[in-house]
Amino acid sequence: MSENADARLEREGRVFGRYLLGREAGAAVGARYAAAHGTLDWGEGRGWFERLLLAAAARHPLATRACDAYSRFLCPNSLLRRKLILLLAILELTPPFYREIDAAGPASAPKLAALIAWKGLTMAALLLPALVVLLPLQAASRVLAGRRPSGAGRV
Amino acid sequence: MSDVTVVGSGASGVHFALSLLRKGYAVTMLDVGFAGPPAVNPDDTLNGLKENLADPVEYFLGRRFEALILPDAGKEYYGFPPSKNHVFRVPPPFTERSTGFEPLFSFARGGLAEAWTGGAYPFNDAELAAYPFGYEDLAPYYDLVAERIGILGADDDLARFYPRHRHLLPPLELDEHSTLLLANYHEKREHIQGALSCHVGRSRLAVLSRDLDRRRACDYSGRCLWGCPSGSLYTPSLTLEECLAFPGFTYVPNMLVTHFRYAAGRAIEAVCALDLERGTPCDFPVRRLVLAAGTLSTAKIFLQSIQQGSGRAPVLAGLMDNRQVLVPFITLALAGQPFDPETYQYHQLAMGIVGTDPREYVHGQITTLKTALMHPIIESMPLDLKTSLFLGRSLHAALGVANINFPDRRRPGNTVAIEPGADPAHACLRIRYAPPPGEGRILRALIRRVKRILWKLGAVVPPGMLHVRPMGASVHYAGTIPMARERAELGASEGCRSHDFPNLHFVDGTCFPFLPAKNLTLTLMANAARVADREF
Repeated sequence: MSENADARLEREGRVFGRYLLGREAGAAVGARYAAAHGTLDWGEGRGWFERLLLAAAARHPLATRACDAYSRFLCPNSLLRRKLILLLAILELTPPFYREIDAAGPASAPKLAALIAWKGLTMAALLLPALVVLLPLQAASRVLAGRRPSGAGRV
Repeated sequence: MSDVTVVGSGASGVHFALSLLRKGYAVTMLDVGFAGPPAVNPDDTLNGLKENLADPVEYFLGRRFEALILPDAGKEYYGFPPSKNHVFRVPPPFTERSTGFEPLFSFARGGLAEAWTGGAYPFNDAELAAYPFGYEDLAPYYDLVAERIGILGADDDLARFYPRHRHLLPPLELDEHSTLLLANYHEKREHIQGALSCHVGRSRLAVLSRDLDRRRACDYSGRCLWGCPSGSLYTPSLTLEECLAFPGFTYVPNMLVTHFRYAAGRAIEAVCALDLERGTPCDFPVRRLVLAAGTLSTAKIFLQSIQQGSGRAPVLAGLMDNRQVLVPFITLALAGQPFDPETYQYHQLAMGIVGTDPREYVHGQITTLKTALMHPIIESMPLDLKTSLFLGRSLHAALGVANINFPDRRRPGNTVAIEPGADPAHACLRIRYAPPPGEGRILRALIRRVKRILWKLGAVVPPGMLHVRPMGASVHYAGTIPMARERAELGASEGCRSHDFPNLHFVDGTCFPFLPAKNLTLTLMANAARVADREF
């Protein structure tokens, strides 16, 4: 993998780590995340919409969340979603992060319910603009892919 | 030449061999025998591994991230750990083509039961009704196997479905989640038993609650899913080790048996195999041959032999497998609670659901998810990953899965054959399976009932997470050459002797004429010991 690609993956890993954990996951996790891409064959044949989704998500944790929420419902097998799951899997096995992931949430039921409601609302608030921007682009990518000769630009 | 040649080292093959060795027979076992890695850091707990291994990601996810469960994995909530990769490794010459069936094969040292979750349930008389013998005939062999491998359980409400054999060890300590579910059951037992026809109790497990020979009692390291380092959770390779201590036992690994050769009187003269190390064919002269390669591999060897010997290409009908439905649930009282990873990790509770016909008994195993990887569960939630992660953390102690198993019957359309014209080493196994008519309606009704049972136990089933596993996924295959009292071509006697070849026996699931919902592994072992005792 080229130095540029490595740097891009490490940057991507840092942003995704902040999205999942609320803080940097550190260089070791970033390197593990980047190295995994040498083993996993995911991505080069994917269409421009998925690449755009990934590039947008890698800009800032808020953008990651909006793109992830969109992806969960409208593009569940996307490259973005796969990369996020890979990072989550690495984090749940790596000290000290696995302890955070294994730690229980709030014990009080009303507090838990309130937090779930709050997180659900913020997800919805981010999903709405993502839908407005990304849905037409995804539709366009499908139309364009349909016009190409079979096999070209598969998503 | 040995007295007896056994093909396969799975649960039935090793118990058959051990019984014969104890009777003084010389036994040769031919096996592919892919072996797994030795247990790493055997004294570490699960979290100890995460802390102490140089690369825990590689240990848990595999060098090629093969245990990473991605969104297109078909709603599986946990995959096979990399340490068990050898269990499902298939040698390249072996091929199959299936319709309506997703088979798994094992060529491992110890066979498919190397990945067994330990459910050890004897069949009762109702479930043995289609067999040419009853529970009383099999009981001594359940006792024998229980003494050999160690089975634990309790005398509780499930005893009405599981005959109580001897040598039952006391059960393990329940984890907090299972304790709560069982307490809720006892509180609402009358309603659950009456209106929902369901009984809940302790699982019968092939796990040690006290030391047995060189094996240690379960030390609650929490590593069950990743390969028990103490040998407490039984696997057939432990019995293979016992066999290897007998001077009359010859174990020949790296042999992919393709077919057998027989004389004009249909007496088998030799077994033909492909030496996987050298890539050359080998012949092994035999006196008596016992196929224990697993129902599908045994069928392949049997069919290939007939095709090679006679040019005919018969079809074996009656393939069975247990339909499985995974019902994830959340126990509300445990939301936001911490969980203890240092507990036994597979199912500690079971449920028996009855209808009007006792053969329609439906069996459930309740697993509380403590140390399974969380990413497949988090990924499957209908939310973004950040919210799902928060929810997953909050609900971790409350998560569980009920694995509901359905019985299966032999039906003529479910067949196994060999693609015509294939050469022995590269013959393709052709499997066709269709579920019984009306299965969807039965599943829907049962799932509704399971949801109500779980609700009574204090748990809810989150929407959209239920998973009907494809046929073949349970790996409980049986029924292709059924045993019966009447003589029939492509059938077997009460003693599992082939009606087509006088010196051939089958001791795997091949001969089972009915597949109850309970896991069949204990009965495979008991039946193999019965055949060794009665026929040799």
